[in-house]
Order: sequence, then C-alpha cells, then structure tokens
Amino acid sequence: MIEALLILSPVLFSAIGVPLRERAKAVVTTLGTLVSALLATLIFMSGQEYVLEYPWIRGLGLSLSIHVTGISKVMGLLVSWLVFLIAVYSIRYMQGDYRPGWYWFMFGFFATSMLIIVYASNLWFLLVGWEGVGLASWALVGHWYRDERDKWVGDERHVMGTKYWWTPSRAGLRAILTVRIGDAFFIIALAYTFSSLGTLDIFGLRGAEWSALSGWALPLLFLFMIMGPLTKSAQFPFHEWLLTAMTGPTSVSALIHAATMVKAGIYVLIIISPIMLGALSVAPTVLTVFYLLLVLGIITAVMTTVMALASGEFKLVLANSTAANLGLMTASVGASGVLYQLTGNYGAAAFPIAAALAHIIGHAVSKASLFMGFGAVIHEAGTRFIYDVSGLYKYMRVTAIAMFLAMFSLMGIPPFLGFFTKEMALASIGIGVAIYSAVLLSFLTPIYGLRLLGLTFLGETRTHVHEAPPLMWAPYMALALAGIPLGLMWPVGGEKAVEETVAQYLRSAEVYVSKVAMYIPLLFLVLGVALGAYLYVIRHGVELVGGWRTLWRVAYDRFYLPVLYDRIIGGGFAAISRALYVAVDVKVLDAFYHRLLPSAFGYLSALFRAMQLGRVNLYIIYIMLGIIMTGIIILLI
Amino acid sequence: MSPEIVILLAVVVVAAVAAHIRASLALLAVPVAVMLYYAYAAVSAPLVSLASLFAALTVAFILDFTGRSSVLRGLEFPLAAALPAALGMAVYASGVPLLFAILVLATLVTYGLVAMRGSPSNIEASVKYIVFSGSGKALAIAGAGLAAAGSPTLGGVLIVVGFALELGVFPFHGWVPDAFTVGDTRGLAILASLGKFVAILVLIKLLLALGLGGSEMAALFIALGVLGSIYGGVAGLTTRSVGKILAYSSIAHTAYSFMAIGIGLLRNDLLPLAMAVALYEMLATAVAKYGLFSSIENADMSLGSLSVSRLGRVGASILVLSLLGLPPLVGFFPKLFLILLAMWAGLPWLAILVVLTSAVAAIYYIRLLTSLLNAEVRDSWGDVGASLTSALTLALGIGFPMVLSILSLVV
Repeated sequence: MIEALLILSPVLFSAIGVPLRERAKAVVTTLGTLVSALLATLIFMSGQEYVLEYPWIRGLGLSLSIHVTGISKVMGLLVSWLVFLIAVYSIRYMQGDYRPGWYWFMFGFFATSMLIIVYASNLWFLLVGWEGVGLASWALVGHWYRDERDKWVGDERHVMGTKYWWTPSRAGLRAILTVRIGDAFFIIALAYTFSSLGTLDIFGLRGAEWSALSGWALPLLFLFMIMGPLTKSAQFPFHEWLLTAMTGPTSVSALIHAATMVKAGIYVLIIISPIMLGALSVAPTVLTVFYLLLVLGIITAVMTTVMALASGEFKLVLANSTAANLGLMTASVGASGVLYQLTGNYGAAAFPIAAALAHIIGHAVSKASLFMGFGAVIHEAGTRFIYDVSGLYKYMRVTAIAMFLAMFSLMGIPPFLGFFTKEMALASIGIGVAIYSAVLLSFLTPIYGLRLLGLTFLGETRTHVHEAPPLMWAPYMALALAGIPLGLMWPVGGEKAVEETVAQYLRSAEVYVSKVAMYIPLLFLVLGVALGAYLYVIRHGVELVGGWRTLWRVAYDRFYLPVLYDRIIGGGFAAISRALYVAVDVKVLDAFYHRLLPSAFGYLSALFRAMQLGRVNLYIIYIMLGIIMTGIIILLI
Repeated sequence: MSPEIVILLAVVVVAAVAAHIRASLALLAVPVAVMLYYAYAAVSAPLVSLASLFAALTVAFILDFTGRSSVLRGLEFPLAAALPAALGMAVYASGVPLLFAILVLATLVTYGLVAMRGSPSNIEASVKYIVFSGSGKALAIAGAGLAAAGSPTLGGVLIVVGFALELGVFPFHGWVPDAFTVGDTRGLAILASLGKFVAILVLIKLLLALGLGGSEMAALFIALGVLGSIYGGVAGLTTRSVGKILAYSSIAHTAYSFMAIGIGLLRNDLLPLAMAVALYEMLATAVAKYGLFSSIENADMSLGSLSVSRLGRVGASILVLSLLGLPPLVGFFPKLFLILLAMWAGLPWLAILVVLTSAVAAIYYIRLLTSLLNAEVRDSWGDVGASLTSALTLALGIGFPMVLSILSLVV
C-alpha cells in the first residue's frame, strides 16, 4: 500500500492538478512528489527487504511486482528527492509558461514511470515505466512546441548540407526515435527471454537454465537487452539525442536528462548484472557483451568530454558532461564482467557495480544542481550561449557559489562526493589499456568544468543581470551543499554501505578491490585543474590557432555525427520510403487496385451484361449450354 | 390433408369471393381471416414465431397494395394474401405432390402480380417469367417422377435444372434481369421475396423427401453456386438501373443458397445446419428485396434519378447494408455461416470465393447506397414495406440463433 502510494502519488496528484489553475497545478504536483519522497525515506529507513507480487497477466509472466532491496531503496530515495527538489525549482522557473498543464502532468507522469523502473522486479512491469519515461521525455523535450528561437540547440548554419540547429519539436522526435530503437530490441529480448526461460522476474532469472539457449543466442539476447539501456543512457553511437534534448525546459534537462531517466539505463544494467554474470559463469561468450559495454562506455566518455571542451552553449556542455559520466558508469558495469572473468571471483564483480551505483548518486546530485543553476543563468541573462555572458559573479553570487561547489563535485575534487564516486568508477575501469582513458578523463574533466565556470562567472562584467529568486536557488544550493557532507561521510561509511548493498544484491560474500590504479588518475586530475585554472580563471579563455582550431571545430560540430544521423540515416530513410512509395504504392499497388483491377472487372461485367439482350431464344441457348454443363459435371464426379 | 390447410384454403376462397364483390371488402376481410388462421396455427403448431411472421407479412402486403393502379380490380389482395398462405403450407407440407401444388400456387400468384399494371412491359416481364418458370416446373416434376421411379441421378439433374430455371440461377437466369426491370415493383417485391423463398423451401423439401443427395448432386449445386455468385457479383458492377442491380444481387444470393444446399448434400452431419443456412440466405435477401422494390416506384429507374420517401430512404439504406452483409443486420449471418460451413466441409477455396464475390458485389451495393442517400425525397407512399422490412432485417439478424433453429425445424 505504502509502496503503491510512493510510486503513484506524483501522477495522481498531477492528474488532480489538471483542471486547476497554473499555480495550483504546480503546488499540487509538487506536493505529490513530496509525498512520494517522504514515503521513499520511510521505506529506506525501515530496514526491511522484501518483494511484493500481484500477478496481472499470467500467460505473459507479467506481474505487478516490486522489490524493496538495498539497491532500489537507495535509488528510490535519490530519485524521489531529486524529483521533489526540481519540482520546487520548476514552480518558479515555469511560472507564466504557455503550456503549464502539459508540463505538470508530464512531470508527475514521468516521476511515477521512473519510480516504477526503480522498484519493479518484473521486467515486463519495468517496461511499463521504461516506456513511460520515454514518452514523458519526448513530451517534455518538445514542451515548447512553438519552437521559439531561444529554445533551440545549435546555431543557424548548415554543415555538409545538414541543418545544425534543432527546434524543440525536432529534438523531441530525435529523442523518441533513438530511444525507440533500443526499446524495440529490449522488448524482443524480454519476449525471447520469457518464451525460452518462462520468467521475467529479476530474481527468478538469476538461476535460469541458460543451457536452453545455445551458442551465440545467449550473448545476442543480452546484446538486445542492453540496447535498451544503451539508447536510454545515451551511449555512443546513440548519444546524439541527449545533446539536442537540451531544447526542453532546463528543469526537465536537470531531472530527466541528467539526474534520473538517463540513469535508468545504468540502473537497469545494474539490476540485470547478476543475471548477466550468472550467464557468464556458464557461457563465456557473454563476456563479449561486457566488453561491448566497457568499450562503448569509454568511447562515449572520451568523445563527449572532448565535445564538452568545445561546446558553446551552457546546457550543451552539461549534456556532454552527463553523457561522459554515463559512459563511465556503463564502462564500470562492463568492467564487472571483465574482472569476474580475469579473477574468477564473484566478489571482484561487485566493486565496479557498486562504483556505477555510487556514481549515479554522486553525479546526479551535482549535475541536477548544475543544470538548475545554469538554467537560472540562462533565465536571467536571456541567452543560451556561453560567449554572450561574462563576470556574472558580480550579480549572481549565490548561484555562482552553488555552481562552483557543484562543479567541484562533478570534476572530482576532494572532499566533495563526486571525488569519491568518480574515483570508484575510474578505479573500476582501470584495467589494462582502459587505464589511459581514465587518465584522460581525469585530465580533461576539470578543464571543461573550469571553462564553463570561468567564462560565465569570472572576468569582466558586461551585462547587468539579477540574482535568481530564492525559490529557484534554494534547490540547487541545497544539492550543491549536499555534496560536502555526503563527501565527508563517504570514506567513513558511505562507500562501505554502497559496496555492501551491492554485494548483498549480488549475493556475494565480500568485495575485492585493488586501489593501486587510482593514484595516476588523481595526478592527472591535479594537472587538469592546474591547466583549467590557468586557461579560464587567470587568462579567461584562449584564442585557438592552427591544428587546435581544427580540432576545436571538429569537436564543436560534434564529430559530424549529426550529419550521419540527420542527413544520411534520416534523409536516406525518407528518400528510401519516398522511392518505395513511388515504386510500390503508386506504380504497383495503386496501378493494380485502382486501375487494373477496376478496369478488368468493368470489362468482365460489360461482357456478362452483353449476354443479357432481352431475347428469349438467346436464353434458350444458355439453358442448353447449362444442361450440357450439368451433364459434364455428373459424368465427371 | 391436414385441417390447417383446409382452413387456409377456405380463407383464401372467402377472400377471393369478397374481393370479387368489392375490393375494399377484401382489404378488410383478408387480413382478419389470415390473422385468425395464424392465430390458430400459432397455438396448434410448434413454429409459433414463423406463423406470426407470416401474419405480419400478409398484413404488410395488403397494406402495401392499397392505392396502386391495377388491372386486376381488387384481385391483387387475395393474390398477395395467398403467397404467405402458400408459404405457410410449404412449411408444414411433406408430400411430393402437395409440394408441387404449393409451388404452382405461389408462382401463379406472382405471374399476375408482376403484370399488375397491365402495361406491355409488365406483360413482357410476366411472360418471360412464365416461360422459364413453367418449363422449369415441367422439368422438375418430370425429374421428381424419374427419381421416384428409381433413376435418382437423371431425376436429380432435372430437378436441379428445373429449379434453377424457376429461381434464376446462372446460366438459367435469363429472365431475371429482364423481368426485374420491367415488371410492376409490387409484384417484383413479392416475386423476389416470398416467390423465391417458397421455391427454395420446396426444393429443399423435395430433395429430402426424395432422398436425393450424394457427391454428384452436391457438386452440381456447388458448381451452380460458384458460377452464379461470380456472375451475379461481377455483372452488377457496371449496371446503372436499380432493378438490374437487384436482379444480379438476387442471382448471387440464390447462388450462395445453392452452395449451402450443396454442402448439406455433401456432408450428412452438416445437413440440418446447411439447409437452415440456405433458407436463411434466401430469407435475408427476400426481406431486403421486398423492402427495396416496394420503396421505388419504377424498377427501371436509373441510379441517378431515384426518388424515395423520407422514411423509405432510411429503410432502404439499411436494407442495402443488409444485402452488403453488414453485422448485425440479417444479411451478415447467413454469409458467415456459409463461410463456416465451407470451412467445416473442408472447402476453404469456397469460403474464399464467398468472401471475394461478396467483396466485389459490395461495390454495386455501395453505389446503390450512395444514390439512395443522394436521392430526391418525395411524399410518403412506400413507407410500409421499406420500414417494416428494415426493422425485420435487424430483428432477424440479432436473433440469428433463434432464426437458425426455427429454420432447421422447418426442414
């Protein structure tokens, strides 16, 4: 009962808000999210672990079952409180918006869908929430359906014949189309799993008879299954939608595209990791899936970090950084399987997964705060471009302080929470050559972080702006400050708690970890901070020349991937469908059904009617022929 | 001879005498007498609902004939009343001679009614029908004799050909499109409805009484059904007159009925249901044809120049939808059961053919429907037939389990 209320209260409250006035909608929905946050806290504190199950469609193995385990309790607490804080921020941020009904209902709908993902222990039921967050993401990315210029992402120019700016409608479509590709594979994987193993319970699948699936069917099944998380969590090559999703309101970017929905992919990877590890122990081919996660995660992290260095928009820097951190988490989950294979020890797999879970928390806290803060900057300064502002510290002190604190956490500077969680994630992927990527990420992250802060808040003040109202800055300041106590608590008991939670979830006795690799990334973090501080705090930006400029251009144009997606794939698809329409629909089907068939029947009909001349002697001939025909039939049978 | 039939004949004779004295007297006497008879039938016979249906039909006929110009000088009332009477007898009759007598009575009545207005074209329609139906009956009687005398194959063929002439099944259909365009619409309404229904009922009873069956007869029926459904479906596509459309529709529906009979003869276990479906199909088309013919003034009207009454338009549109086979109207269920029968009998191609020919025929029904909806609205005669039968299409459709069980009782 409490669990149902925890999950459903946001959508129920927002439904109540539908007929109300704008302000009342906002308050009612926020109240709903508060109820759900308090209940999540209650459940977190209760200290019990259990699974509730209500069978729904038995023939499909679909039951409304939720698991209250260490992992879902932590995630539920994080999600529900972030939802509440961002709802509070939205009250002021969305004031006077032209579409409040849409925003607040979808907000509540999103929160409920996300909580379903968190607590569902049946994968079909999880899919309900999974599709729900996808829908809400589409709805909120394209929230500003009037496509005003200041809501776009990108600037108005063409690159290789591709439009390099994205309106909210176009970005919403891009988001939902990308995510649906993964969803399709995900659903196929679920259906195949159910049909061959007979269950979709995340605990029931652990001891599944994997031998029912022979050869490469098993890695293929998991490949299909991780396609869902890969698209949802915006991993290369599906990361593009997340960048253009920044057309949505900033509160939405903070909630859906930084703190929660994109984390749902990682979260699903974490909750299915014991299943995949179980399969790995009987079928070594599953290792390819873990390697794939590791490699795609690292590629995403490095690529988007480089793009974050070059982006010209506040939210684009943050979106790139989100994708980079998601990549780190994906790579961590991938590392768990690799470590398991290398050490042959189940406990060794627990640490990377714990790192992924920890970094979900560490990143969500800082990134939600950053999005809200820079949302306030965009709101107050009236521009989405970094180069249009400078020295805002003079007017927006509270915001600036909050952003510095949150960014330090994101960059991984001790003693903020982000330092510890990121360190865990980097340590997880520090195996083999992947250590170089950890080094690179440590070095580059502070540079883009300081770049964003330096260019926005420091330097010469050019424009006069106002500080954000307290109702807006309170949530992001709270989250930014939360990074410090959480960080201080981390070495004392936080890390151990997360590791034990994961170990318990994996049913592994203990966690093995070697922390040797960590210090090298730490060294490069210091170098990165130094370089970033020199470039953007002391010098306030640099003029790029020669090869650096070319590199900047390539990164600024996002490695020309939009050309591939929008022009080659999107345009190619449109061209193929147009060609098919002409070749098949018009030339074959229309010609057959609308020209050939009617004229054939018309001809036949005229022929038949020509028999009907009104002359009885002619009819006698037909009768004779008919009698002959009956004779033939009788003789033949 | 059973007492019911004696009473019935007495009723008809009384009505005829009354009509001879004064037309308006028949108008009063016939419905009262017929209803009295059916009240008696309803309490004495098991087929209560059928009896009341006949009574309702009779009253509808009588009311529908008022105010029509006629050369029959009032004789049309007893004639019209005699047809449901013939049907009533056909339901209860069992002997071969009596069945033929009933068939003769039913057709004799329609010969007159088709030529009711006495115009040359009316007479032409009547004569064409007489030629075909007369020779058909001659063949059928000869066939029945042969079959009874121990030559079932030849006798069966003659009966089939005879009834094909009588009912207008392709390629013995010659008279149908001609008569349906030039006859009097009231006469055609009766010919296309009860005339054909009685004929098919008599045919089924004859087949069963003579014990005719087997794969040869079944093949004959199914072959005629296949040809007729294709012909009826296709030939109507390009026609532009209402009468012709209804003629081709009639040919197609009779063909479907023949298919059902064929399946019944092929598979003994399906026989009761198949015969009931054959009757149901004819009942569906009969109800629709009666209403449609009685709602138009002239059978030769082209689709573009239709004029119908306000109420008649609604009724007629529903009837066309029923012919089209739209559930829950009566036209849907016999076709559904025919398809099921074909599947059960292991003839999937026949089921596909039924679907395809129905789909082809749908085009001319829709054309008729659009022209009805765009038709000129005139003042109110012709309401009775169309509105009563459109209500009946709904009732007979929704009550299909009851209708089917009653029809299988009849057989």
